[in-house]
Amino acid sequence: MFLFVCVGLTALAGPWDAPLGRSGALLVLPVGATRLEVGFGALEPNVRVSRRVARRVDVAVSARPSDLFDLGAKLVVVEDLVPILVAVTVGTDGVGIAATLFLGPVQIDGGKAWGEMPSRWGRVEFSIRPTVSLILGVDVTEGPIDPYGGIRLFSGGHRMWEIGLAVRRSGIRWSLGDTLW
Amino acid sequence: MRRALAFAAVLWILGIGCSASPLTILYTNDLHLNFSRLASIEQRIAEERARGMPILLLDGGDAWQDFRRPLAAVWGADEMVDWMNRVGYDAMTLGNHDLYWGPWRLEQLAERATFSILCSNLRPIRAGSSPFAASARLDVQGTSVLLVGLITDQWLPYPSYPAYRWIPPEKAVQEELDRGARRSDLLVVIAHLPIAEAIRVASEVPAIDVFITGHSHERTDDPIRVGDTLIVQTGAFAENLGRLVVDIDPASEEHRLIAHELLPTEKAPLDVEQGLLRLLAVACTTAAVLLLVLL
Repeated sequence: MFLFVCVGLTALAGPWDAPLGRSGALLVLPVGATRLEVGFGALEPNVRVSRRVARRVDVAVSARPSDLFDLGAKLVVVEDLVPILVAVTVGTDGVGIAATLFLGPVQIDGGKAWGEMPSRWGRVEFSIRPTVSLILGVDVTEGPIDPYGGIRLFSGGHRMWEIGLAVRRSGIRWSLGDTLW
Repeated sequence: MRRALAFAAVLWILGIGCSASPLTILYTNDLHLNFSRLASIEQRIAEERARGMPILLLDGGDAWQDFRRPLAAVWGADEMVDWMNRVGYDAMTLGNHDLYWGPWRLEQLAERATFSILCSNLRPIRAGSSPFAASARLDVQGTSVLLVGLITDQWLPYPSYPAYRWIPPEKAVQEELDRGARRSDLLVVIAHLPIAEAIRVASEVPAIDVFITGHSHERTDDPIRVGDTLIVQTGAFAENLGRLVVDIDPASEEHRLIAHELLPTEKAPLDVEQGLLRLLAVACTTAAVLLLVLL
């Protein structure tokens, strides 16, 4: 399995980074919950705090050495057409859209951002057990296509606390996340 | 003295009234949006109700979602819940497919349902934050029935439900019993679990009287017995309506199997116009997003 996920390039930074790649439109935190995520390893370290402030709205602040303050919000604009959900993102570095095709244990996310650092991304997350998810993703920025593979491990059969690793061409990136609720 | 005799007479009369009372449990599992057979099931249920016996109507999960039926999948969840409301389901347990539209949709569907949605082993980390309950107690014409829901750990969309913890089914049922819930005439577990898993759980929790299962699409022409527990399943896709009649003695809390059968259903033509429009809307939105992202 480890070899399976051993593909990758560099991570895309930004306010809407999921632990191991950029996320989609599905807001998974309960309303009022706050999540803290720390990423380190192959890429520049970053800290991200996000909070679901309303049913359709997440806000987040992230910081990394090259950008000490990045504020953004995500608003879900299409939710009645499940299995597809669409959100718009607004941040200090630009605007974007994100979409999720929600297929149960398989979730497909994709999106595009315009602004200082235009980018596109896509990822597939496959949940195989209460404590394990596998991720395959691709980021496209100014350079070449940047694929990666990752694994998320969760404690106690729930998803509030996790440790993850993503294997990219530049090395292994670790992430830790916990939720205050 | 006369007062004591009168009291004894009342107790005796009540004792007769509360002695063995047959209960019919009608059950489905893994309906998977098979609307073409619902009219037939509805007719079967109406025939059973016409007999005038106490009836409990239950579902073992995977009712309102199935990717194999894309037309119904995008519009059918509301209609399935409406149908279950109309025919008078008492309770259902959640199947893995019932979680596939995400937590928002689950909340909407649970609000729409007039029956109990149960699941004791997918437990919210914060109490009171869940749209479903672990168990429910029903009084069916004098018979106290405790219903406990269970879900499999296979193919669950865990990433979308971070605030829930999955726990082993035998532990969840035992905890419901330990909370004092055993004070009922009949303990019915509605489980989205394969029969082999139900046998294991029933071995560990012998207090279970009836175990309605699902997920594995197996059919039990005769109930499987594990100790005093009866384990049943209808197959899948609404092909059968299960009918289990048990005799319950409230005094001894013992039950006895009177009858069990799988009543076959028939297919009927299905109007898919609404499904086509909605599927088209989903396809157009998906295509628009893909174009926006890729171009």
